[in-house]
Amino acid sequence: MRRSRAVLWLACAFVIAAIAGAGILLFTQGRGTGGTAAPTSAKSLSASVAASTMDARQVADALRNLPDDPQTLVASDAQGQVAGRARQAIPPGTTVTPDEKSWSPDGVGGGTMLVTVTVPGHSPVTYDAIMVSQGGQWKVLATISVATSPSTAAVSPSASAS
Amino acid sequence: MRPAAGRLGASRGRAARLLAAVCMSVGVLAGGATIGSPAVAAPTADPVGWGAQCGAAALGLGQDTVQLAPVLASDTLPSGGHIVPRPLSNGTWVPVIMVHGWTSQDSNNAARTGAFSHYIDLSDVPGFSPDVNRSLIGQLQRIPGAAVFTFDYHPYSARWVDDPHLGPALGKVIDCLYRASGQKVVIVAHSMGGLIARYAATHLGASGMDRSEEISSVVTFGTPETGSVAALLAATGIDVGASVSDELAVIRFILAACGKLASGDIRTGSICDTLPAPARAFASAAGIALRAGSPQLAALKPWPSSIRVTALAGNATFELPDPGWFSLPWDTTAVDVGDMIVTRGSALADATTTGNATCHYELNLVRGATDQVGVLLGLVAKSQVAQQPLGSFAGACFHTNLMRGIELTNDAYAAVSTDIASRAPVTAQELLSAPVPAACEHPAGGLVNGILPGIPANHGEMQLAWLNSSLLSESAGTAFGDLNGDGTGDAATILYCNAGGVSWPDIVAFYAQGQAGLRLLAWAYITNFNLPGIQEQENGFVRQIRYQDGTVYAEWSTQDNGDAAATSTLDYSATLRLSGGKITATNLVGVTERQTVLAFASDLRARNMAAADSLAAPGVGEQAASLFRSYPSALNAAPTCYGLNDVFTMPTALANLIDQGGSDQVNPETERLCAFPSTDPGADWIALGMEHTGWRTWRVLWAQGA
Repeated sequence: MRRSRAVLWLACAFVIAAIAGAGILLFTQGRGTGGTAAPTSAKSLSASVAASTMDARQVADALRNLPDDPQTLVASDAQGQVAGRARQAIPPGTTVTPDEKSWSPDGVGGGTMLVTVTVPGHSPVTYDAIMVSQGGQWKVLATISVATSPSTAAVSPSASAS
Repeated sequence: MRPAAGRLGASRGRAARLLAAVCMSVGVLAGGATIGSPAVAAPTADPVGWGAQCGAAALGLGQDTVQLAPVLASDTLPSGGHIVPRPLSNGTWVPVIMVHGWTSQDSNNAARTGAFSHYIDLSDVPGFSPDVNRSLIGQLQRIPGAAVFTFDYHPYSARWVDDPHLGPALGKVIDCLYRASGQKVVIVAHSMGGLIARYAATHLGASGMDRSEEISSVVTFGTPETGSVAALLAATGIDVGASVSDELAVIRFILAACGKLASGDIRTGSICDTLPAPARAFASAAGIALRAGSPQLAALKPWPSSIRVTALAGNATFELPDPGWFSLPWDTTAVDVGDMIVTRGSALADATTTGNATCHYELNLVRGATDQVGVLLGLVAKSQVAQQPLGSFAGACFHTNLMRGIELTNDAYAAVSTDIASRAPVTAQELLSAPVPAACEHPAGGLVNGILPGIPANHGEMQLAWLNSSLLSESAGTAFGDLNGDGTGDAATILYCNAGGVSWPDIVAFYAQGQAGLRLLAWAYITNFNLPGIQEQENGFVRQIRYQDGTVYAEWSTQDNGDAAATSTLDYSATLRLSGGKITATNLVGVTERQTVLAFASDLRARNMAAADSLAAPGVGEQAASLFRSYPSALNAAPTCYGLNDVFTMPTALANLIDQGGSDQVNPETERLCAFPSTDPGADWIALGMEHTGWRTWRVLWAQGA
């Protein structure tokens, strides 16, 4: 079971990297009509997958450190809104469970990862955390609440547009 | 405006225009083939020639491309017919230059991959699918007078706007098309194309000044005038501040969510199509310079004030589920991300007029129980009809799609067509609804069928002087040509007014096309123009005006000093021109009875009786000659002339000769009297009674000693 899930994760990671690579190519080529980008090689795709896996691990580790010192995980662009209240959001004793598999790079030095936060005395809440890398450290820029429901409730863009 | 050509010249002009229209339509048959070869340098009066004259090869622009956009066969009119570009009624074509954005391109062909070539198929109104069978280029090609060109710099588009192949290259194209057409160009630009246009507009052009005299208006779609917020994404080392952190968070979130979708889920029209994969592109010279607050942006000069800038922006607002920093909520759950690449504030900065496409979305994040890759992005229109299929609604507000939206393309069409329509020559028909100034004790207003409405009975009138007039015909009361030097056809006309009594002086008024109908450039009572020593009089009647090389030649009659009311004995001609917002007169020539009197006396001195008789009523020549023989000192004296109102100030002996109804009145037809002083015994004056027989013609009606 664990082996099959690992294979699946690797496949997903490859798909993500392929899409990101294709997107870059599409964008810089002006939708296939020119530009200066060279085609992305299989070697660079492999490197992307490896980098993404490493990022996911680092992001998850950073999130797990939230209860220790949440203020250190506040992204610079979020400082104004957090206003020194990070500890209020993540009080001592909070349990933070990142979903490493959910890591999704945004292609511009950041990405999102699901994380479930359980504050003592409260029900668990799942967020999609928007992460950015600043000074070699992963920080939380913002979070958006995620509702948990059967997969049939999910609405994808393709479904919406049909 | 040039003087009217002869019949042959007019015929050639029509033929050339026809040829141009046919050539522009060739694209219909050729399915969008490029028109014209790029190496011809001979000046030409038509857009086909400009395309060659101003092509990239002719201007040395490397791999840039400048083309007269071919008409696509699949771009059709609402009626289903083909689009056939045509000039304005006076044969004028106005260059409209399309400038694409960063990483895009600008061809117009059947593939419709150009930035302005996609069908207009989006709307910011949920549930509404525009039924427009043409692109923005096709739309603009419908505008009479629009010659649509594409400027493509995509081989160099990763460079900043000051690269020789971007802003400076566009500047050369503008210079060339301006010179070739004689018309200020119109620019329609997307994204960074607007910054390229701003660079070109603010740098030296053909005149050695900036290009504000070569560009009339600019329409921008999502141009990051103050930078791109999305470009900041790659600036991870920069603290962008709280002002855009919400936007950046949302954009990052969507970028990440799109990256999770399987390729089959990414379809044209979905939000993911609108987003760049920007890490690499944003690291380019252009990407770095596009960052909001960059020094490169700061170095760009503002738009010249004379250029009308219509800025169009996408304005997408996302409603998020509980955004914040874990349990610390943001102040708002709705985030305005502009068009995802450029905020609305940046796109609309410093514009003359603005337009928005506004879209509201709800982002619903649901974690499916069997979802292996995390959260799926649920995007629905926030409208009365929840969960409405996105369809054409998806993306009308997004950066790359702005030129596909019906709302913004309508705004662009209006801006361009209004500009070009203002180049159309003013017509006599338009003068019937011209604005008129406050004059003759009437307020300013607009003519209706040539007459100012709303004036109570017996309170006078204000109207076109040639309307239903036997004194002044339409052709004599109008003059058409470029009066303000902008190369377009203006008009001068004569207004007649009174305040319920006698006629006020005729008004000469200059008009140009404005944004909404005619615009009054300047006006003046014709009696404002006088020779030194002549007082401004009560009446002045224009005899004719005609256009003459940027000016208006005018002839009119008014009173001379001493004349009775409504007596016009002074015939003026002058060249009227617009100067400093006012009408000024030069070459002012006034003709009175005095010139005839002096000629008559000269003929008598020369004993040329035939000539003298030609200036006098029958028998009066001999009569005058006899008097001057009796009083020879008078013939060598300078005459003094009087009007009928001078009877109380002139010598009594003379006044008696013209006093209306007096016993000594010589002839009631007398309009002026000129008297030669005599030192010979028997008479103090030799008087000549003068009759105004026509425009600048007089005759000696009688001669008498006094």
